[in-house]
Amino acid sequence: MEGHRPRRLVLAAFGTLVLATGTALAHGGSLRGEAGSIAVPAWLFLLTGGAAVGASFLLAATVTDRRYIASIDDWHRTLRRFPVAVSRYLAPLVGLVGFGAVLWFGFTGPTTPLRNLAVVVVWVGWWAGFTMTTYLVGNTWRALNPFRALVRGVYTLRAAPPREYPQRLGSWPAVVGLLALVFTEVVLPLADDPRLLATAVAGYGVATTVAGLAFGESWFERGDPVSRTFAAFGAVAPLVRSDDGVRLRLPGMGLTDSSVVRDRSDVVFVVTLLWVTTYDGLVTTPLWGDFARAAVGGGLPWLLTYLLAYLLGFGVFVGVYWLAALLARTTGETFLTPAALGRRFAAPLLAIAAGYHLAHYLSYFVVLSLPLWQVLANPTAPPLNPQRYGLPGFVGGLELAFVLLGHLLAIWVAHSTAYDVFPSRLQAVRSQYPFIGVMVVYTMVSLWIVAAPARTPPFL
Amino acid sequence: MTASTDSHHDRTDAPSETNVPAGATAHRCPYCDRPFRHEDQRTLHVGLSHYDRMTEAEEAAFREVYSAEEAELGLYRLKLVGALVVVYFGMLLLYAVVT
Repeated sequence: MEGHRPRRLVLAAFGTLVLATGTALAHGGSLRGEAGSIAVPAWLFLLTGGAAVGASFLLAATVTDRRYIASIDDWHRTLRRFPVAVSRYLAPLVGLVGFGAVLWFGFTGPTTPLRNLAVVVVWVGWWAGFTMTTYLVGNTWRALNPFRALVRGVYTLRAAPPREYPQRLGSWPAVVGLLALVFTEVVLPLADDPRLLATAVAGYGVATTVAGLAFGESWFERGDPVSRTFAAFGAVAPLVRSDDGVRLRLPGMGLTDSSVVRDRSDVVFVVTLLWVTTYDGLVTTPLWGDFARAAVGGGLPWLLTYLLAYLLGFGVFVGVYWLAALLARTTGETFLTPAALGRRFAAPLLAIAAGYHLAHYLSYFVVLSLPLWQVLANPTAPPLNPQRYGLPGFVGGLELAFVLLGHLLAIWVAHSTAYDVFPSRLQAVRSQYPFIGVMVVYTMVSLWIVAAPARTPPFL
Repeated sequence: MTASTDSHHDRTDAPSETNVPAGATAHRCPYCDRPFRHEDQRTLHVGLSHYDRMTEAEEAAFREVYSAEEAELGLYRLKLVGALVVVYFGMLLLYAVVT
């Protein structure tokens, strides 16, 4: 009986909240297209997003039944495992063929981006579409990864074991690698120049394969930025590989496992993932355009402007998260170190990163999936004028809803984790105050980016 | 870790790094030595994480603190609902004024 009361309360309250934010989002969504029919000013729209996140924290906090919270977290079904032939042989083969095709068509295919297989496969198929499957369904990159397949192949033929991956390196190579990859993606026209894209893919491939040959498959578990990104997104997904088959869980509940974020370098990796997705969107806003033009007009080289803003924002994100962990020690009245708190509460941020990725890439993927199919159907002679799918008007509102959904999931996961960590329930809720404050601010920033008209970043 | 029923999740007895500042009094768990700021926190921790090993006195203390917490939570929940009402009507008024 006790378990049902809060559940009904929460359901009723969430219903009200969804209705309330739904109305606001409909207004916000119309901000994009028809400038004439703006229902609310931008600041009020952003404030509504922030208030929705704050209100959902207040709602989550009313759920205080430990058993009920644990039962949501623990719910799972074990499904049959995939046939070994698929994960061991077919998936790596698909990955290798894909990698080969990207290189071949990147260097020899047509130079019109949407007619080139390399461009549409890498950006539309892989970075937009495949990434969505890693957090919506489950992480399959482990099996598909062509570089990992190469490394595994070499070590089955060679008897000597690989060098041991140095523990003190942690996930730092993944942090540096992710920062470098996304910065390259932002400043170079990788989506417009197939030759350049193929060069970049080959460069990354060689680098990660060499590192994989040195350290064996543990490189892909810790140091490879791409594998780590997909593994992090995979923690949000409902399907996860386990020893006795495939485990089905409620979305996001994998994030409460303490194995997702193991040490300080993992915390920084999670924050980096959030920052690089934000930066990718930030540079397309008109405000950034004005700022960059002013800075370059003042004599700063454009590349340096981009780099300084990139590193500064990275520092701010890491600093703000660290500050929240520091404050949580006080509000949560605990002797746990800020480092330990930061480690336990970093994983929920991955739900936010997933929501943000979905908001950012869903319409991109749907619109460009038509050229993707056309090119895949006929890679050597794709149609001269690639067509695109049109999108109905409500998609803009849907994107904003995904940003909010990611935050709502993160709040619940953090609530569940806090109940895991702290013996007193009031203490658990109070420990969340600083993290929620940061989340409210971050929601407003990311809603602002998603709702701002997307411009081409200057000087690129 | 003995009390954990599911190896995929750790409960409040997970090994964790703590740091007791000089001058602060720490209430330590008799089973896992984890320090707590308040005695109630330790009592709750013993009941939640070492329920299979605790003494009867500890269990009685746990039940007492747990029900006291329940009462405190009732008040806290009222405050939460109050804050929700403020947020809801605040936004409503704001929308009424602006649009």
